[in-house]
Amino acid sequence: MTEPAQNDALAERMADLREHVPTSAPEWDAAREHAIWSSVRRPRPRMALTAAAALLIGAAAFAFGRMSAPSAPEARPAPHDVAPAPSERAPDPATPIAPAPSPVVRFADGSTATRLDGVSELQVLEAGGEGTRLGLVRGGARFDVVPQHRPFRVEAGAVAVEVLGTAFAVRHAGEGRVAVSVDHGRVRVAWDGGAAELGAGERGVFPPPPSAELPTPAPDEEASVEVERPARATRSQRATRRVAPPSPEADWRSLADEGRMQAAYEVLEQQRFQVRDQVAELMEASDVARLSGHPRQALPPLRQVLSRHRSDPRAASAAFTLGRLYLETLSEPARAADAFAEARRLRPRGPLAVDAFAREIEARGRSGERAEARTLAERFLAAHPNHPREGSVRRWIRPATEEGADR
Amino acid sequence: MRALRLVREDGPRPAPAPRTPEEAYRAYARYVGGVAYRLLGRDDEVDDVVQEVFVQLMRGWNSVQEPAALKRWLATVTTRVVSRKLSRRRVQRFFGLGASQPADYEHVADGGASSEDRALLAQVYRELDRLPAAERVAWTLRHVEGLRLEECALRCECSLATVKRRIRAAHSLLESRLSLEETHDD
Repeated sequence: MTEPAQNDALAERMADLREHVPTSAPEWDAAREHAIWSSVRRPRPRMALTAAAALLIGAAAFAFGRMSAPSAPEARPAPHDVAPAPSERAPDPATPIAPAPSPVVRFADGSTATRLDGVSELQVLEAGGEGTRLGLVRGGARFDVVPQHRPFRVEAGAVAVEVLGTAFAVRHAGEGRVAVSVDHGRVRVAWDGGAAELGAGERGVFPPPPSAELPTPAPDEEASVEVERPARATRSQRATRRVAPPSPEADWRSLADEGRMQAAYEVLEQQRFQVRDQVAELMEASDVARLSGHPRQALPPLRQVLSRHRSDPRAASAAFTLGRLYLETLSEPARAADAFAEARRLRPRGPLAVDAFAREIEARGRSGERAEARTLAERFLAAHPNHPREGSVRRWIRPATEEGADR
Repeated sequence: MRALRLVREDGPRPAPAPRTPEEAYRAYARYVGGVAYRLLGRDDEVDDVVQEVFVQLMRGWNSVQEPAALKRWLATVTTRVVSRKLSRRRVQRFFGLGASQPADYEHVADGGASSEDRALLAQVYRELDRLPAAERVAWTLRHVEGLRLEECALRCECSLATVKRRIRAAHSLLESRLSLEETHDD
């Protein structure tokens, strides 16, 4: 059994609490066990979609905003097994769509679904006044969705794409990843720990590989992002280190990986903050400074990313982080606004662009540029209605006399 | 309950390795259900997870190389299936789908828990709901299952460094959100 670290109240408490978490599910008896075995031998359709992918994609067209569920998950009908019945229309959920060489399925609202090849397979899960829900069982399909106010949703394994008025394609890409491409309109792709937006003509495979950019989480968001650092050859040869005071030969990156940010910072200090001119290392050095309570020392590595690596996909993330440091820690809203604007310029359709836009508006407002903040806020609300940040942006449209005290 | 469990594990002779999927199910279904329950904190999805795990076992039974390692394999697959469920649940919430009210975890603790422990455990699981699936699972394996870090990494099918990072991230968030008051014996 594990022993809690010293001075770790939560770990100590959990060492006691876990004794009270049962080792079996409650009310586990022979009848229940038998019922599950019956379903194992004859699998129910509701399990059929869980085997494919390890990520979830949610997509919404730009104008759609926050979605309302067509119905509670428990009330949705179970997907029907696909039977080899040829059909070019899918009038109701009971009608399966059989594999056939590129048939086009037309829905009552004019939307279409076209299989990409003869082995691709679709199911109609829901089709009615509440919206359309399809299951992409295997292969890929292209969808042309007529603009409407009801959800059009495609589920591929554990991935879901929900859109309003766009043309896009979704395809299983193997190893739990899904390829998404957009012909026109915009989609938003989200997975546990990240998100991305694709516009017309753009495509991507999600989740992206570990070396690609991942969005930096905002402090008020629940998501946290795990960034897989590229493997370093020397790390695989090092033995596990015991806790010890850092020496100049200590690797600050290994200390950071162990969560010893202050120790990592001390090593960086001893090295006069000399790090390699590589984006990953610069970003890590900035994180070490920031997380060890040295925000000013976090700035130079980020600026170096922007000055020497502007074409790197992570440059926008560096600009975004710079903006947050200036706004939230250093109370320099004017510089924050410039940094957020830079993040948007570097990747106007990147996963951080909309968030950067909202924060730039706030930073402009806080720096006294109220007229500019108002103009940008109006532009933001026109482009992103019903966005989660609508409230914080809208306050910059109200006249100054109606403003409460700034935060 | 824990004492009884030890007696069963320390029985006079180990049970033979299952020879068929059905034997494996009879031997380990309750165990798999328990693993799922502790990861989820809820009973309503346990049956789905158990079904999925043993469907996978049946499909791959002919390629099972080490029947003696079956229990560990089942635990790993259970962790994987639960992680997917948690990821899906999280994105459903992101899009305003799924249950609108937070789950009730007052029933996680067994009958022997004090009301204070019960409340705290419920709070722990509510806060776990707010974490990304990978971090939540890693932390639960470490601090609810009580596994060593190396075992957590195997169960999560990731490197030791990665599982440490996940646990650390989850732990610091939980520390900031949970109210842990010192209790003093008078």
